[in-house]
Amino acid sequence: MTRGKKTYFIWLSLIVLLGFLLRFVGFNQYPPGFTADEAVFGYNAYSLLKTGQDEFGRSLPVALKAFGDYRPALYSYLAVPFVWLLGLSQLATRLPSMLAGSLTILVAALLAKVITKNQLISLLVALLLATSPSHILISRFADMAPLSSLFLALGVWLLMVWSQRPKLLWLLVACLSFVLSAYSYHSARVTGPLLLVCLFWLNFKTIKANLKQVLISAAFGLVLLSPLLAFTLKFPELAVRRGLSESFLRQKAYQISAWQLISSDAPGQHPLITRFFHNQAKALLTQYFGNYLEHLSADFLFWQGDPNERFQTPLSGVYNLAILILAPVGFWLALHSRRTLILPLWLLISPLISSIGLFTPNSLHTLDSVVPMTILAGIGAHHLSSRLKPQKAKLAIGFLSITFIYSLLRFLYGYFVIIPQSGELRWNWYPQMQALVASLNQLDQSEPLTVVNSRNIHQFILFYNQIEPSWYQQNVVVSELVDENGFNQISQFGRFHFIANLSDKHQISTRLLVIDRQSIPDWLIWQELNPPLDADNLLTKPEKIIYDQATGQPIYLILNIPLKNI
Amino acid sequence: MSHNQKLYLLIVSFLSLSLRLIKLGAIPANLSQKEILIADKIAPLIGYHQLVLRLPFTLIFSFSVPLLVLLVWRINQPKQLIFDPGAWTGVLLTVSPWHLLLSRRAEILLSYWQNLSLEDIGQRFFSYLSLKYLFLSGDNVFLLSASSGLLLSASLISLFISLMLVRKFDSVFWQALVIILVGSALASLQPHLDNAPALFIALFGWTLLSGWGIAKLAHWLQLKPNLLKVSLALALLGIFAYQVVSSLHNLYIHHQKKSQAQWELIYKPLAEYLVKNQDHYLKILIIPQYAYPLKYLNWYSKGKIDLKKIVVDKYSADYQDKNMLLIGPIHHKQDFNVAQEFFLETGSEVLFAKPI
Repeated sequence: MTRGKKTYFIWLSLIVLLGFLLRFVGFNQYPPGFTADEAVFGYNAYSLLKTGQDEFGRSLPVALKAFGDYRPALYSYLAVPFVWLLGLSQLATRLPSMLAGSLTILVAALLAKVITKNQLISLLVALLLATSPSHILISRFADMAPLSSLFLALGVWLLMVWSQRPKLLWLLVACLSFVLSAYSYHSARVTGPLLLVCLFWLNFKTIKANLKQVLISAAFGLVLLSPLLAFTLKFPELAVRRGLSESFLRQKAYQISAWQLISSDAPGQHPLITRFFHNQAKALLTQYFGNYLEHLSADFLFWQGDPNERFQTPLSGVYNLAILILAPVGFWLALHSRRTLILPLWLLISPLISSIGLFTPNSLHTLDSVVPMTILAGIGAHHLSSRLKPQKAKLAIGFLSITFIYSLLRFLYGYFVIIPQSGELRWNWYPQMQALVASLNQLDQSEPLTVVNSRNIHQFILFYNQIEPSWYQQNVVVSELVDENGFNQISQFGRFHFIANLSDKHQISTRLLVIDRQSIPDWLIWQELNPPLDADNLLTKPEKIIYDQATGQPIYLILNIPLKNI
Repeated sequence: MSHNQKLYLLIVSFLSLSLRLIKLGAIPANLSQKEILIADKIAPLIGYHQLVLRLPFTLIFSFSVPLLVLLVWRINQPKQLIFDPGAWTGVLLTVSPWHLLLSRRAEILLSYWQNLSLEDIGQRFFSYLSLKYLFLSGDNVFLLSASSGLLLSASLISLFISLMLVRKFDSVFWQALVIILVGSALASLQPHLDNAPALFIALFGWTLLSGWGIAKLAHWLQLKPNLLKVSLALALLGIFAYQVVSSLHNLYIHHQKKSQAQWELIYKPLAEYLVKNQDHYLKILIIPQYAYPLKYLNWYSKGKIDLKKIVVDKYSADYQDKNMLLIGPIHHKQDFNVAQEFFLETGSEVLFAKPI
């Protein structure tokens, strides 16, 4: 290894280490909680480890039933070794995400090097990705998106390597990466194939010259994909259930604006003219392109960030502010070279599936775009520094460095200081669930209790109590009724009874009631210090009040309702 | 200047003027708060005509279309109009939703600067650069567009394609970019978020950039034409034509409906009522729910209301004088002794009058 290469790899390792630390340090406090989705992945990993089945007793599933949303199961499979090593814990559950996030830094740097042949750009890309606000935020909790981003980046890198040195092994591993991305996240099932089409188009000559390798790899990929394809063909409704439930196509809000316009059309207007101006196709396309353009908005990318509170860091956009100046330059440059064209194409492909979502723009669904975005910023930075005169280049580098540090500090302050102190933002992270479960454990174990389950509390009881999966599989009762999203809810296991909401106190069949601050019904009056009163002013005795650590506000209540009141 | 250029300018000027003068006094129906401030000052000079009030602004805006074209032609002498950014900018401005609506208002668009925080300036600046806001959703707060973007979204498609095709940016592109950035920065210093009228400088820049995009695309399409290029050209022309028609429909039908539902118009029936009935009362007390009651009443009554009789005070209970008329928002109405109720054209009940 030459000295230059050695220095490059040392720097790269240091940056990857920095990236890992930014995703790992304080994992138990930041984010300020552990979500129900994370508990699903952790407990299912535990269940797979113990029984080879998911929590509902399905052997080696490709999708986890979870809340009835049938999410991709790969995350839980990858968490199995960590759960085996460390036990069922928050760290074991989050490690696949943290590691995937950290490895993405390495893969993006290598991809940048293959594409640009420039070590400096590669290191800059690594640094920008290691410190990328949304990527840090999302890699710090258990989610599927960091996995799919890693596998997509790995697939693209390996295909680029193969296009320069066509060896079958590269192509087979690239194929495996794309297949894994499909197993890891819904949106990658569209982004991956579209990227492949673009890569094949860009490397058509190499493919033509190595057709045998391509055919072998395609067959290999199809074999690996067959369980997912079989699941999709056998249960098409389940395969798309989660995607559809989060889609604007299901909620049809776009129709309302069309109806409003139709109602304000001129009286007596011919119906054909009305249809010409206000039709479903126009409403749908407008909504879709509006959502798509939101993903490209500078406000979302560089200033305010994700409007979804779970994925939002106060004072920070999705990317570092310095990228605002660098990425457009890189984008335009990359458009004019076949070698780099995949990067702008990837950036434009990434929001395609996210744009049918209900909540847009969405940094989670488009997390993979962090790879092309940072590489484009690296290309832009290199172009600016090499094209400008030395004096101007120094000024530009100075300005961009200050912007980068300023933006990074804003993110770190927002993430590590503001979020933990904000009651509203903390609430998205299911604070104090462990304390709630511990309190439930202190109650009389023979006493049944009713849980108002709007926060999926059952999943935390399973997770923190490490309920034996084989027992749970036998004893769980799933409601036959589906909720408004088409999901099935848990109605009972053991002494725990679950109800979705509490509009009527006669729904309670037990003396003990667990309720969170969002689910408080009209007939109970939420009081901070004193026992809540029901509408008839009958006293209900709180067994336990769990307070939010940051705000001191009560967030969960365990009530002991006198039997005469039920 | 060639014959074609002269003809083009003539047509564009004529079309701009025509589209902006049609029912100028009646569309938009309401007189905005900014308009009433100007109207109040110059009403003694021009009389109380909405059309006359708006006309100078309309003329200035209409002639800004050929003027901008001429400015672009100074930077970039056109060879063929079909490939000329200036010519396309003129076409876009003529039918542009934001330009059409600003032309129909007698408003001073930029006001004093505000002492904003860096956060506010940043938020506004980035919001003003949002492509969704500019090309799709538009402005509903200041009624600068109706169910469409401020700019025609068909021009965004050609802009995207051109950005991908062009290898070197010319001076028109850079100047458009500078106008956009400066205009957005200026608007960011103005009061109110989503203050689209204050964004007018940037909108000129965006229109110029869109015109540049169409011109570049047109140039590319005519190089080695093939079936794909012809299809693309026809599809884009079709979308563009549809959007222009749709945008005009929005302006004359939907935007007009929205403006008819604005609270400013409630002063119109109130003014008519007061002109007829003011002599019966010594004083008229108005509970100030809506802005500028004196100015609006003076305007809509064409100066016939005795403004000395009017008292504007939110503490109506303090007044027990005889021969006094109370005008109040509908949520203050009690069911007895109401002399008159006032409705908007849309049927919403807004104000009432009753003797104290």
